[in-house]
Amino acid sequence: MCPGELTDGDRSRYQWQLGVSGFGEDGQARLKAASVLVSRVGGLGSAVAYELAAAGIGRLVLAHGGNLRADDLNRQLLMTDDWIGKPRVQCAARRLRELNPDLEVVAIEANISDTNAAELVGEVDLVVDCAPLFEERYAMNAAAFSKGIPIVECAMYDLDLTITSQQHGRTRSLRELVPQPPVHWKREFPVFGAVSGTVGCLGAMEAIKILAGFGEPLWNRMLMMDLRSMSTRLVTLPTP
Amino acid sequence: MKVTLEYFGMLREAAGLNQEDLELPAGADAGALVQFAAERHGEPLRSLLLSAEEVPHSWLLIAIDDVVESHQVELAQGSHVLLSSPISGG
Repeated sequence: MCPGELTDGDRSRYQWQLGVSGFGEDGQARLKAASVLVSRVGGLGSAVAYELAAAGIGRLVLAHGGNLRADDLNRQLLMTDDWIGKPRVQCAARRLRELNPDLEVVAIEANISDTNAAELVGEVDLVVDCAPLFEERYAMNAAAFSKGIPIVECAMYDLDLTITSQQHGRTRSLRELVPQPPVHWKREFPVFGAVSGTVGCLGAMEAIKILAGFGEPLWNRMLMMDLRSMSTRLVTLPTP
Repeated sequence: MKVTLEYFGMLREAAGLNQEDLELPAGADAGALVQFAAERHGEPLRSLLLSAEEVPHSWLLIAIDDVVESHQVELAQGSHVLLSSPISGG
């Protein structure tokens, strides 16, 4: 069987989405053949990884260092209370395998850095950036641009969120949009799990559209949502 | 000329409001609007908008009528300007 070729079991499992306009069996086969890096799998990345696993992505590479803490549990939906003190990424991998046993999960107990970005990005078809620190995001974004791989950039603060998709030759990079890390940005910031979940689901949908080749991804556009007032703006970004 | 200034993310929190209508001299650019807002609200908004050199931060996102532009772009009567500082994941 060719990579990505659908089985009867796949057709049964994914029948609710096979009827989506522009997607179909070809789109499902593309997802099955695809490999995606999600970094990290906290509040945002948990939602991304969960939706991608449910949708039938073939392989997920999860990168996230550190052990689970109690204060992660307001938003990190792949975690469980009994896992506190143990590596987050292993809990995420366990939950994803429970959801979809066909999924191949690679769990990396480290965050993305200049040291590992090229290697990890080099083995996937798409990256979803769910990381909190700009240094980490720059490393991941630069590696994706270097290899021509699309990257979905997700962000949140309080009840606000932004999302855009980038790729070398098609859009500007993160570094071109944000030349240096904002000095006021802090690792910990106010957020609800419902906000990280919202942007995570949007990020997963972007990844699915790009991989399956349908819809209109957010190339050179940024969706900005204020969930406090439920207002949205779709702004046009400068082109390369 | 009258323009509408909308704040997003940390800037909204620092300004203490979603948006405001401001009166600027005709021909003012987006940078002048940022300076005006910084003076009007003071800290903590000021340091989120302006660098030590008193110019808009390089990372500041300025969308004029839903198109991201440089701070040197001239505004027009009725322009809607959205200001945001970058946010991140987690």
